[in-house]
Amino acid sequence: MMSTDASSLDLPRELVTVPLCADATRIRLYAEVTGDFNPLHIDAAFAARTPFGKPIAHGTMVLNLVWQALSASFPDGSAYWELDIRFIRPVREGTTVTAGGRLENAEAGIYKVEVTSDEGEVVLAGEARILNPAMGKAAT
Amino acid sequence: MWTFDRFEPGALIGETALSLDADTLSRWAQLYPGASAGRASPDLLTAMMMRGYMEVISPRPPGNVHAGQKLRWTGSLPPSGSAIRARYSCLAKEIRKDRRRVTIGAQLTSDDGRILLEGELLMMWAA
Repeated sequence: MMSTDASSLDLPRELVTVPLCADATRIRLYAEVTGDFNPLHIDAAFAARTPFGKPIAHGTMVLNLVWQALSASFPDGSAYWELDIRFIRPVREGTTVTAGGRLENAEAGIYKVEVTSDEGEVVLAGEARILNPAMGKAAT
Repeated sequence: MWTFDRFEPGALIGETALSLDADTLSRWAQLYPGASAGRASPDLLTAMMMRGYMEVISPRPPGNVHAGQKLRWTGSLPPSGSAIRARYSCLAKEIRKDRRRVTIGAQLTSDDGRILLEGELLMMWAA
């Protein structure tokens, strides 16, 4: 009988890390994809008058790196996920951020995930829970 | 204007049709060089969820803050060029520590009715 518990799988202890520089070009592209043209994201003169001082990346632009870290760690695409994410700090234009995670509970298939800036600050944190552990296959 | 007072917990806010077109896929490949080129992915669906949010819940007061996000993806992906239906509802609202919190439920479905992505957006509403 096939086991359906995540502990039966060789889940990687660490997720593949995925970096991205949140430069003005990428922020603009994300605005075009989502239709979110809030000047706080794309207008440097406007953003300079705010407490942020510079444009900031869209929150889900950064969150998407977590999806990509999960996809890179389970490249056969058969692992499905539930994410619960908190946006902790804004990501200012020009910052390089890196998504990653570590296995927190192998039996339940839960990873602690986070995105950190190149200054070492956690900008986003949360959990990723695998929904179909029997189907997931880890990267080797 | 979608002010805090206008939200009704449990009520549908609205729906919209989105298209996973070639322009979107091209921009996505430029934005995320490591992403799956030319096809849908849960990260791209997350961006589409935000596009629908921008369309359906508009206009909004300036200064809202996206504080948290839950997402559930069970493996369905739409083919390139296909239509996506995006539906938004108010799940909850409350004032806590003088902050207006609104939880918005979102669901993306394919044109044949399959659920593609479900989510909950926690927003700090400005007014």
